[in-house]
Amino acid sequence: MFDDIVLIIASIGILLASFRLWVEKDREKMVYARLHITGVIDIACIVILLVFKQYLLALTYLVLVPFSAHAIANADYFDELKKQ
Amino acid sequence: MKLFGFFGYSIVFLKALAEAWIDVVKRSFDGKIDPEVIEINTDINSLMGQVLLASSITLTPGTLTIDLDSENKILKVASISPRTKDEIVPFEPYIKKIFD
Repeated sequence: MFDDIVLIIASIGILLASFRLWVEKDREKMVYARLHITGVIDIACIVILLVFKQYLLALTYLVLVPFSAHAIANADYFDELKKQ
Repeated sequence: MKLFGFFGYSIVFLKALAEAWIDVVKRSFDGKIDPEVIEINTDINSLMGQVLLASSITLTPGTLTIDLDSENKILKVASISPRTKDEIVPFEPYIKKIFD
């Protein structure tokens, strides 16, 4: 029962986050806002993996996620093409 | 002492994670998103500590580390709404306990 509740809450979070990614228009610093919102989806996915007892996969996900977000944000911040 | 630091870090980080997750889900629903980029000075000296701090910031929904200047101990952080340093890094003292 507890597992079911956690799964439902995580799924609702993913749906709401996906909705916002879909409707939000482009504006200043929106790349970072989108990365923030995908952070919600990432945490929800990690929780779901833990509920399904995929501990090693969840740990891998947990470790790798921030580095990909770093890379995307850093690339956007120092984007040379933007300056042209 | 390191064990206490790690234990404290885990608890504070998980609490921050839960609060931030709920906050960003709310913002996803009502659309109150006002991204900004700020610079934070850190007291952590070791590179591993700084990397863990940066990764913890990024893992928390609503905050994101863009750049880390290790020698000057400055992080560039994007936040989904205007925030103070203490709101972004509540777990910094514990990381300092672990690594320094």
